Amino acid sequence: MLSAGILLILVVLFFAAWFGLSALIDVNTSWRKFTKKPIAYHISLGIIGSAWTFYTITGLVQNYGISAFSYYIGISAVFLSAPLLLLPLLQLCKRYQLTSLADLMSFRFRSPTAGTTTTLLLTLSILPFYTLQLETLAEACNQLLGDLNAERPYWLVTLFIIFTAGSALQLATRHNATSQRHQNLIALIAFSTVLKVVALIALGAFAIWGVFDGLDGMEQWLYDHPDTLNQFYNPSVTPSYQILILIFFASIIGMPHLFHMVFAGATTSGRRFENARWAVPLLLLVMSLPVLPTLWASQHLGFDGQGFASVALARAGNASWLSALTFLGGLAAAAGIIVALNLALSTMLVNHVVLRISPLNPSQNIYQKLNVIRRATIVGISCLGFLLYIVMQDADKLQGFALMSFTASLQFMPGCIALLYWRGANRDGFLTGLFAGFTVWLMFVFFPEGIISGLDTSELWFTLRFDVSANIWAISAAMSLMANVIGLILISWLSDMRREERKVALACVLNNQTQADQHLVDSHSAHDIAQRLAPTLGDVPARNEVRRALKQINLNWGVLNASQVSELISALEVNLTQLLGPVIAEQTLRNALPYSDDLEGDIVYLENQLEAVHTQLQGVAGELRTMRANYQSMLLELPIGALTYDTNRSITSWNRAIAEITGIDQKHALKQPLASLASPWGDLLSDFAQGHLRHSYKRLVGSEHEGRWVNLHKAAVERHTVSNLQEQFLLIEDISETQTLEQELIHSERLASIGRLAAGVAHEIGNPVTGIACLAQNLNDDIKEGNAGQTAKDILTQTDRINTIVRSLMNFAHGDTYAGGVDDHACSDLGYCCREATKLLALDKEKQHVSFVLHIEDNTVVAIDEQRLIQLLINLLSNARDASTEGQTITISGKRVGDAVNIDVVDQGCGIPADHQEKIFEPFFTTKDTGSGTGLGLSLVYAIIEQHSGNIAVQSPVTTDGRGTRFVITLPVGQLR
Amino acid sequence: MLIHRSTILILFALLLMAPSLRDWVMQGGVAWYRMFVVWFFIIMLLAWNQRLIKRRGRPRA
Repeated sequence: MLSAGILLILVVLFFAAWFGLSALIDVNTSWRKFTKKPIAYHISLGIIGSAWTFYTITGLVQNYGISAFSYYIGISAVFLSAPLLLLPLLQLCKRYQLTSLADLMSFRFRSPTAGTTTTLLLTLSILPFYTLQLETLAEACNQLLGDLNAERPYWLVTLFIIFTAGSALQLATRHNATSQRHQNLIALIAFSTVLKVVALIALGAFAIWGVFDGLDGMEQWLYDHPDTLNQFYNPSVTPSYQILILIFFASIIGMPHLFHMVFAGATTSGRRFENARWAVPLLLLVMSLPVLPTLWASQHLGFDGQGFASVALARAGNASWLSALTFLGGLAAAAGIIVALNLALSTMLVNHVVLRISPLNPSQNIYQKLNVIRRATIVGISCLGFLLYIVMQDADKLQGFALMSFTASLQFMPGCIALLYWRGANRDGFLTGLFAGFTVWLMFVFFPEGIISGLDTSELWFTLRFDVSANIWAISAAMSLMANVIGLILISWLSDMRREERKVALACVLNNQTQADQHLVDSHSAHDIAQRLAPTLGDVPARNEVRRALKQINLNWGVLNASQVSELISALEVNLTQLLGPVIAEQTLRNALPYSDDLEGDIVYLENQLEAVHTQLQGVAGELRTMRANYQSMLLELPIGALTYDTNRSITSWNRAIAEITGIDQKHALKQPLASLASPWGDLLSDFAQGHLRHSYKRLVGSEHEGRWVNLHKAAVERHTVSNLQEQFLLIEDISETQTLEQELIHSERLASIGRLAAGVAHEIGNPVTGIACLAQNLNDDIKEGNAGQTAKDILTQTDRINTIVRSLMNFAHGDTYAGGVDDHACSDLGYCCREATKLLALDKEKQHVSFVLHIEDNTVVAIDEQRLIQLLINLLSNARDASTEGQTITISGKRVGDAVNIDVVDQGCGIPADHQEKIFEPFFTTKDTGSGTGLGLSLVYAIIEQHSGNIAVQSPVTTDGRGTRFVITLPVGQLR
Repeated sequence: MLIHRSTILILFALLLMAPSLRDWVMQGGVAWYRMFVVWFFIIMLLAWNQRLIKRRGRPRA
């Protein structure tokens, strides 16, 4: 038998291990890592088994038979059907960083009053359950000491209250952020669960092998005691198992410590819930398996139903270790529940009651103030629980009240279901339903007999349906729930829903991906945001919070674009929600950073939100999601460089091709302003985005030899009518290879032209050379006659003529050395170029003798390089000559029209058939015989004109008899330097 | 909604089978563990369902 001294040592040792573990997690990284593992979270959910269930479940089975397992089955059912309730709630909690039921209700119904009401009602209803843990522990202590009727062990309860309050104070005040607080809490609760499960399994194993000598022995005992089995399957008191399951189903939502562990644990620590769906029911199965062997073994050893069967078994078995383990199991269960309750209730009370009554004062240190408030609240809750324990001397009554706590938790079920499945539910309906349900519940709590005697419960439909007439708590559960549901539905239908509530309702019901009420803020710097928060939070806390948020999203102080501001505010909202709760956090941010009505350009933010939330969309929404994915995929894989940018010229998408062309990774480009991109792309793209031109051709980026040739195109997507978003689309076409090819083609064509001209050149040069030869022969005679000077002049004249021919040819041949694209400043005299071109063409003696007639206005200057213009004219005129017959005339006229120069080239040739006119500018299109033409002449003419922002048109025939062709070229006017 | 169609199917099947399963458990006699067998079977079914959802990606229903 254990003595009080041993129990005291056990309590001290247990809490030494408890605080030691907490300290170890703070200092040891490996232990901290363990708390982040899913298994730690899953084991911590063993908090479901309280000290009360640990000790009294055997008693409940003895009285209520198989129905007593409704507790475990109800809670298992809520996990097994997690996609219906827990998962959607969890996703909401995760998305909006909600850590309590009060947070959830105040968020959904956009009402701080909903949060405050929920907090106060939860506190009121959970206190008997809180006190029941103390009562159960004290009773177990007395039974272990061997005196069922002994005085209450106040020493144990006082010590327990001090230790648990101390643990809660340590957890609540050491870490301001909920996530850090939770790592320690999860580890501590997991520790208590392991101890509890080990104790239960030890009891079960002792019962089977220590008492019955194995499973066969237990089976034989059951054969010998058919009454035991009969009582198990058909108990004398039959509660409504449906109502029981429903109550325990709702307890996960309505019990603050369970909500805290299930939702806050998963919310603050990433994706942990996934396998809890089956792991928690499995844990509950393991915890419930030893219950029956323990009960039957204790009955076998003479347990008369007084006290706890588990304790009776440990004592009857005369095994001190088992008694100690049984005590530690119950102590661990109670400690876990009380610490979690202290934290959950204090967080709700601070966020939804205290901070509403006493708002933060920026002149004070808010961190210190919050710590003081949290400490005071935890101490207050512990004192209140202890006070209730002292006042409630009747253990049976206390147990009745605790059962009513479970019934009270049912009152939040309609609100939660409406939150997820009925967007018509509103604040007034929720509050009315809650008020109606709790009023009925309170009436049953305080005047149970009066109500039952005043009602003919046997006539009520639910008593007939669910057989609840025997249980006052079952009747109270059913009636309060009905009052609640009727109030919620009726008032929600009759009253109007507020605008902000409607938005959040939509977000909750449809799992809408956009954050409710998300707008851009009219601020572009982290410093500015910190300054705006300072009047509410104080200078230092405001800067601390902004710094923390910036660090989380990997940004620096300074100027931020719209998307970065959105990200920063989201991070701030998460951190402030963890610190102050969602209501105060939202009010703080709203007051400091009023939303701008303009939602322009926040596409990246919305995209990230979409990617971050892995939920399923159905129907049209699903189709839209698929379309969006296809659009993104197409954009990403497009072989042409593509980017989109918002009206702030911040890049919102950046595909692979553009990353290859520019050498800038997507992660370095996204969300950045165009101008901030690495040189030379930043200036090029920014200038083009700002300019009025929608297309820009053949832009050289970088140096002449190592740079790239690109075409730029842009298009504005129309402002979206719903989201008010607008973005611009910019395409970059890499034409470096085409440009190189084109240069080679031009060079080839030039060489071909030189070849064609060579014969003419030889002939042309031949005449002056012959002349020079004759003059040289006559030179001796001329010297004698004194005419040598004239002869020398004639020779020089002939030489000049040769020089002129050679220079023209050389100029033409070297024209392609100019390969620097379009020289914006190059200008040339149209008359001079026309004369040069005709002179060169005249060298080709094999061609028809046609006349070139020039009508060029004086001083007509064209904004084009001289060699390019000559090349253009040669190609055009040689084609005209080829189409002409002997003796015909080709007329070239040029005149200035406004800011352009019009050049007309008209021949009297055979003309161009209509079906050929669309193709003549295409490369390699020719109607000449094979070997006579390359088909590149007119395509080069077209390319040169395009390069110089001009245009060319063709008209054929020109005359009424169907002959002649007119080319009309328009080029920008230039000015000679 | 977030429910995979296989989950809906399983929950619906369990709902349909609940009375039969209850009767089977209640007629257990000394086989008191029948309730736990059913419980374990449902857990395994849901664990398999969870794996299925995880392997096939997000829900489709």
